[in-house]
Amino acid sequence: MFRKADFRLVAGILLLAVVALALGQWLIAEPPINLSDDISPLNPRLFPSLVLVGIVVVAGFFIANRIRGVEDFEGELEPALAGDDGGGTKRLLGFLVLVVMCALVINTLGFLTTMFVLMLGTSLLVGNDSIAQIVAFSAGLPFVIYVLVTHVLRTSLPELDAIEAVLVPFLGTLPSF
Amino acid sequence: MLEALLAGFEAALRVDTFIWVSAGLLLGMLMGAMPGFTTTMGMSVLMPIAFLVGDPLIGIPFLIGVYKGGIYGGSVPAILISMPGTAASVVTVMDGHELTKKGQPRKALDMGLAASVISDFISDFLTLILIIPVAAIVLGFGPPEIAAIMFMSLVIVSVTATGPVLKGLLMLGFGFWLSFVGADPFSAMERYTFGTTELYDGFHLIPMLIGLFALPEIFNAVRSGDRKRGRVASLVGDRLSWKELKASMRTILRSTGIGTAIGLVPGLGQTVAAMMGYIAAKNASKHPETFGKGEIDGVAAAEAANNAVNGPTMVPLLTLGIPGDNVTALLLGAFMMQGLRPGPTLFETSGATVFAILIVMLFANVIFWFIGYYTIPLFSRVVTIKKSLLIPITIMLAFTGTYLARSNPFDLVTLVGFGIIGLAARKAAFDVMPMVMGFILGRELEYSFGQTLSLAGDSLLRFAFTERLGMTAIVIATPILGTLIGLRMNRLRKQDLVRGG
Amino acid sequence: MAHTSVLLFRTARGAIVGIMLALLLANGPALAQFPERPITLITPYAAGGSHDLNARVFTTYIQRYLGQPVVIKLVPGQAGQKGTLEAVQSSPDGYTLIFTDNYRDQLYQHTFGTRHYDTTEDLIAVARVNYGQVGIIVRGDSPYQTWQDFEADAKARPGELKMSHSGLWAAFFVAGAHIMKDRDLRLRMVPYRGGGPAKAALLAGDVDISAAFPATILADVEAGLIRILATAGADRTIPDVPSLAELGVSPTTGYMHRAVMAPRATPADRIARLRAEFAELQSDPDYRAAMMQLGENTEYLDGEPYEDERRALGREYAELAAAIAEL
Repeated sequence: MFRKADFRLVAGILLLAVVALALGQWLIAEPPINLSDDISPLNPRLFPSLVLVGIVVVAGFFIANRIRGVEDFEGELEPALAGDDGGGTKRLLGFLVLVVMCALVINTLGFLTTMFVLMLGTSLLVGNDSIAQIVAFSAGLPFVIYVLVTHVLRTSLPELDAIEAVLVPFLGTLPSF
Repeated sequence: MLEALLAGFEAALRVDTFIWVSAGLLLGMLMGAMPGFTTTMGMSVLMPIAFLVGDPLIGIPFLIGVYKGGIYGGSVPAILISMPGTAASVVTVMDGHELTKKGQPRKALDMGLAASVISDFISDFLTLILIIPVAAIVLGFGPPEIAAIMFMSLVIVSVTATGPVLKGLLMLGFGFWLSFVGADPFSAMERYTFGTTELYDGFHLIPMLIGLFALPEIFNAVRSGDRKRGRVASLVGDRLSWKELKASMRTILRSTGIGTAIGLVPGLGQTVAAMMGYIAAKNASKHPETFGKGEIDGVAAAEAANNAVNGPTMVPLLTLGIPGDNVTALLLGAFMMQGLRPGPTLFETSGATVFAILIVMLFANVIFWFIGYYTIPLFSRVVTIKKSLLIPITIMLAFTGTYLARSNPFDLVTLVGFGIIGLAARKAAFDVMPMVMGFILGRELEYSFGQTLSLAGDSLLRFAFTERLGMTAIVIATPILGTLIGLRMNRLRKQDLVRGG
Repeated sequence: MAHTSVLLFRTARGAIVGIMLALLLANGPALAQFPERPITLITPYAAGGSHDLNARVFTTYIQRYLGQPVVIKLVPGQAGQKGTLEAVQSSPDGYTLIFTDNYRDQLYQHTFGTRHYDTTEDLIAVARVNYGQVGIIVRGDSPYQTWQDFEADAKARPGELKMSHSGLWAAFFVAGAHIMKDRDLRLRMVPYRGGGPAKAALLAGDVDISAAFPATILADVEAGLIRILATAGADRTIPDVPSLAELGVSPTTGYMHRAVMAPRATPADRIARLRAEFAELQSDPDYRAAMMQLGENTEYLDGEPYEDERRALGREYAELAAAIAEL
């Protein structure tokens, strides 16, 4: 019972809910000026507390059912992966590390560099063996997207000042809105 | 009124108007296909064009084209790479991407296009002829009714989710709670933010959706040993056949009705419409167990519903000058800059122009059919790119889209976090749709409920039974309806399990 | 006509500046003229809202005077905190500006908890672009024909009459709060997501009274659906409708000032240049026409006098927040 994946997930959520309820005082701020009901109709603590209680109740029912032996776990919602050669989990972990790191450094290293690293890493992890292709796409595609987004869609992407200084005059020559 | 309508007809028949609408549709579709770039952002960027042009019959149809194109555009990455381009296409992801994996991306895209165009056309037509009575209806929906309808939607979503009801409810609760993270909607007090500014606005929907739906696919690709070979699908598959379209016609019409009805209620939006349309189709189907595993009817239901919402949302804008959401707020600005004043006197002063715009909007759907028909083969080619190249591109798009949504680096953390949650949910056989719906509607429900309390004054019960009978009726009917649907779903599920799934 | 003389003036001025520049260049290190690249205008508001629209209009036209584009950077959310923080932390070289309003600038420090900046200290005003002036409205078929009718009823039934507003501490709420404080009334304030839904609530009859910016209700008043009971300000803006000051409410109530600001450490000469160009912009006929189409006025006030106004508002809002807490 404890091995089944859904049981673990439910237990995890239940734990989270109980903690959130217990620590509610500290996690939700009170308004600095106390406003009467005429001005502000709902206390910010009300709904979250209600929902957390609801979660605890439902999770409780679920776990009780399991203990009683009601088995309705339908297994993974997807078929086993083809050709899983055991290195899969390691690769997945490596990928997670890569992704988290890229998320954290994008503001410091800029869009183009981070995306290059991300695409490079992912390509290797997914098994692309043509280095030329990897490098070409990892450098070229983010650049195209960068131009598209900053110039055509007029939205900003984080980028190093050095790179921006080089690109701005070039971009200025392109037509835009 | 009638003369204005006919005058509008004449005014609408201009080549340059149609060219601009087509440009808008195409641009909108491309922008919608870019995950994270919302239609509102696109319209906001393109708006200076609309007002510099100076002709209401060019500027406004252009923006409306962008809007319509955007709604369909979001379904393209949803179907091809399991990444919803806009929130409205999240329901399309499930069956759409499964169809792609089965080698039928073109069929899915075709059905999405057909459903969108048909339902949008009907909804716009109804808006055009029923604009006055609809205006009166729309005003009748105040916070109490909206809260009641949201409550009912949430209950229906959790009982019709794939899997046991308890799991659906749990996911709903979790999503609900997640929507509370951030500043509370009444007094802007911080909830669960741990004092950080990044969480002040709470989690953003786009990174959550991309994380929940696209990332698990990417994770699986990394995990699987299927390295050298492997395309998402080796061929683009057949086009949609007339027979298949006719078979789904009922679903499309039903979804159109649902979408139009939801468009009338302020504050619900396209995602809720898509979800409701999908659930209704699943409920009415003779084989609900195929939904979620690549059922073309599911794609039709979702895409028809989310497009049908546009027509009615224009009504309060035009008749009362009240924008219901960001898009209509933008359109309001565009109207005013062209010298039109949406509101009660709009039809008297500029009736012909307004009708012309509505008529152009109606025919834009037909134009869109052609644009879609010819661009779909191009788009579907994407799935023939080999996985080892497509997956890095997908993750890059996921990052870009997430950042585009609101330029908050924390959203990338959200993206990855929900990717992991999505993976865990798949392994544990949890359907994440109730969580998504709970998240979308949670804070809205709290807000509407608070407004209801404020309107009610000292006695909520008295208020419920004397003034807002509609709300009370819905609130009482919901548990009954929920139980009935839930029992039916349960029965069908057990039958399906017995049959071997 | 005015445009030509503006053109002549500008040409003359340009020539003088050119000569000065040439002299400078001949003597010292190259001194480029500000601005030499695009300026970012941080706009911490939702896309499509009135601030976004106003910003798109004036940034399009001020380009003519600054010689460089002013690019809008929409940073919605967190009640403007995110955008304001970004502006405050940006490098004070004149290339980052922020578009804000008086409530965010002077009121929020008293009503919301943690603040990572002090707007009065960290930002200096470049220009007050325009303002919006609220009107207090009721339904066309409401029993209140004049303000006095309403006030009498409100006094007779404290806490029962309902006013719809666009959000806690936003323009309409503050107007309502001022009225409650200065006229000693108690109303029930019902929040809505913005001016549009607040107006819809009034029209639907869910609430008894509301507020609105005139541009959004002109058509409704014409059609008899809405009646204006009072307007903000010291003087009357509509012939038969009293001003709030006449009725005993503070004359600064109900104004939303839209202002462009810069980090306080920005060099004085760059601030001066920006202020000068905003002043220039006011005589541009295309700009004025576009603003009028939008339904907005062009009541410009230069940065310096607006700085005084800011401080006065700050003091007033401190009192207001305290008063509301006691209701």
